[in-house]
Amino acid sequence: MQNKKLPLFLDTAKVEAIQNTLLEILVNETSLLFNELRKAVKSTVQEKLFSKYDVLFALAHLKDQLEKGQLVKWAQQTKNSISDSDKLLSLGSIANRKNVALLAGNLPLVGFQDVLALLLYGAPTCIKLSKKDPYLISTLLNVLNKNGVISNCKWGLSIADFHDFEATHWLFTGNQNNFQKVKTALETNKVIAHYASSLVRKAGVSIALLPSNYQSLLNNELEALATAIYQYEGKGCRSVGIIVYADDLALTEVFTFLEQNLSENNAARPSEQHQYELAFLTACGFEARSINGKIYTNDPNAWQKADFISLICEKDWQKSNIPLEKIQSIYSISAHLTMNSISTEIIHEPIEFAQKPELFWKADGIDTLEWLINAK
Amino acid sequence: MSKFNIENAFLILQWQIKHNQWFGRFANALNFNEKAEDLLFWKWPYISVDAFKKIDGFLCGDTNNIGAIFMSSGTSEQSERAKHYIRDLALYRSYSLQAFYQKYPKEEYAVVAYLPAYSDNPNSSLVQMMQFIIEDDPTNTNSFLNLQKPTISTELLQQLKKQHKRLVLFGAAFGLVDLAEKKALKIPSDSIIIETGGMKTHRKEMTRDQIKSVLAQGFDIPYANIHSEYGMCELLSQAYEQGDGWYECPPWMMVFARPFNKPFAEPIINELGQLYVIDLANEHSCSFLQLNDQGIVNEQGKFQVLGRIPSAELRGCNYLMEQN
Repeated sequence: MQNKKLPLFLDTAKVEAIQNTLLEILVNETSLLFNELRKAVKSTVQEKLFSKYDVLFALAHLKDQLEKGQLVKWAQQTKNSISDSDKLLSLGSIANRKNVALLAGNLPLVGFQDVLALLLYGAPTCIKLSKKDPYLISTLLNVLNKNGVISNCKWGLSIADFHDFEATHWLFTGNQNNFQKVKTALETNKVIAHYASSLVRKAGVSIALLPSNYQSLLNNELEALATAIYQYEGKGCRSVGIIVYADDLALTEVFTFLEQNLSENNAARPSEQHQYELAFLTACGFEARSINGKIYTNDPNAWQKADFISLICEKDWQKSNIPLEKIQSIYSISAHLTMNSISTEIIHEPIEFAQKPELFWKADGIDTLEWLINAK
Repeated sequence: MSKFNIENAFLILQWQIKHNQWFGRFANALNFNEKAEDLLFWKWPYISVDAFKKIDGFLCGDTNNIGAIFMSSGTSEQSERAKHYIRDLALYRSYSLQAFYQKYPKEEYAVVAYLPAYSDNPNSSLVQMMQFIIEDDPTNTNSFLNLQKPTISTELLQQLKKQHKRLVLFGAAFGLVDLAEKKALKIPSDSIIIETGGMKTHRKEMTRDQIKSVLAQGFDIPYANIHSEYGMCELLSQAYEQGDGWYECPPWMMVFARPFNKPFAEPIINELGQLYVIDLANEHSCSFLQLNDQGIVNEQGKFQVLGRIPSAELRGCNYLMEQN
């Protein structure tokens, strides 16, 4: 064990250094570091990559998690899970490991959780940033690097930046269609070794359960539902794209509930495209409503597009044939109003966590840091 | 070629709104008022071609007395297959032969077809169309090529010479590219190749230009002799491009383009947009369709197809090679 280079997360001081440096960027408005982040936010918004609201929401949540000590907690609980001396002895040396992550860029800071896991692991790492989110994560990494709290980490916008890196492990989010294409591109550029292990995230949507006594929902619970649906324009895998409602509710009742609680007072007329989509759904025999820029419908396949929310009755869930691997989380809208779950295999969470998950939440049910530790 | 008859099209529109219950529902949902809109074709309702996937039995009337069912190949990742119920197969035969012979007269051309993978789909409209073309030749020169060992026999070449005909090699693009790259098939230098279908999922996606270059080189014929056919199971008509990059519709078909996400906008000319079609051959199903292809339509009504329309933003994080 003395000759082995062990993962960084075992060294609490180093983890705290990362956490504190990130907090310095996010909290201390007088610091130069904060200014760098402010510039990154400005560029992101000016180039219309994301709205200012979405960027600040993501940063505020990261700040909140770090203030609560969640990075150190993540390291600690991982350490505890391998505190058994046999497991510790068999912990692989990170000297033999090289890691790559490809970030999707469809939401601000998306993939930063994976980045943190890779930093906690501590092996040489390359982060392929997305051209859709080129400033935020690179600024955070830049500051961590300049302050010497991370080392052996490169990042860039092009796969060619990591030519010949020959990673042993790589992470990305995708599907069967693009996995092979991406793998081939990485192997051709020798970014990954041909034997490299991969962690591929596939889940694309989350579900909210609407119980029969929904009239008892509190304002904050309704707000949480709205955030779960509308934050980030509904694009992330943690966004609600499917509402499963209790057996004894009628569809019209569900529509009324949604219209009453999710409409904005000055809601604009549906766009031309939405008017068209509504007519098409009607033609196909589905019910559909446009509510605050999204189309809610009982077409069980509609959720695949970010603008659509599928409404499925609990008793029709099996018939909908939605593959479980596509589901990220199932949210209960209320702690005191329960409903039968539709699956025991998917992680269940309170809806308040939808867009504000814990730092160490398990995408596709997998803790990235644990995967890095256990992967061959 | 005669002009597209808009008055006829309007009559068919009225009839289909009345007799295709889903199309009628679609028109009502859009508050289409046929008396007010008359002959402004772009104000008519155009239902998404996906209706053939989402609605089983998308046609005028019910699914009794059906001549055939055409189904798409279903090559994309999560695709349901489109199903086109054909009331009268003889009608399809008539339209497809007319469209083909307008461009490639029977007296001047003999046809051989090479359709790997399509042959695995017993409901392929393309295979059926080729069947019609081949059977319509009283000299028996037209034929399907052997998929395992495609060859143009000396006998066939002699027939072509005797009949003063040029050869048309009609094939699936990916299959022809395979043959071209292996130089596996010799054809006369004045032959025409008609490719169709793009590369589907069988090979790395190539542009139409790239396909044509590979075919011209591999078969050793001029680039201008590489033509293209635009068709799908949802349309009973086909458009042909004869070497200049522009597809031309038969007289009963019309294609126009609109800006993306503007399904009610006036048509645009010489600008990239989403393609829409009126195909009067679809008289028993629906003639007025919004397609999933993007392209450019010129002043003469000819069009280029430049891939699928940009897809609506999908849920979940997805690393996209093209964007990154």
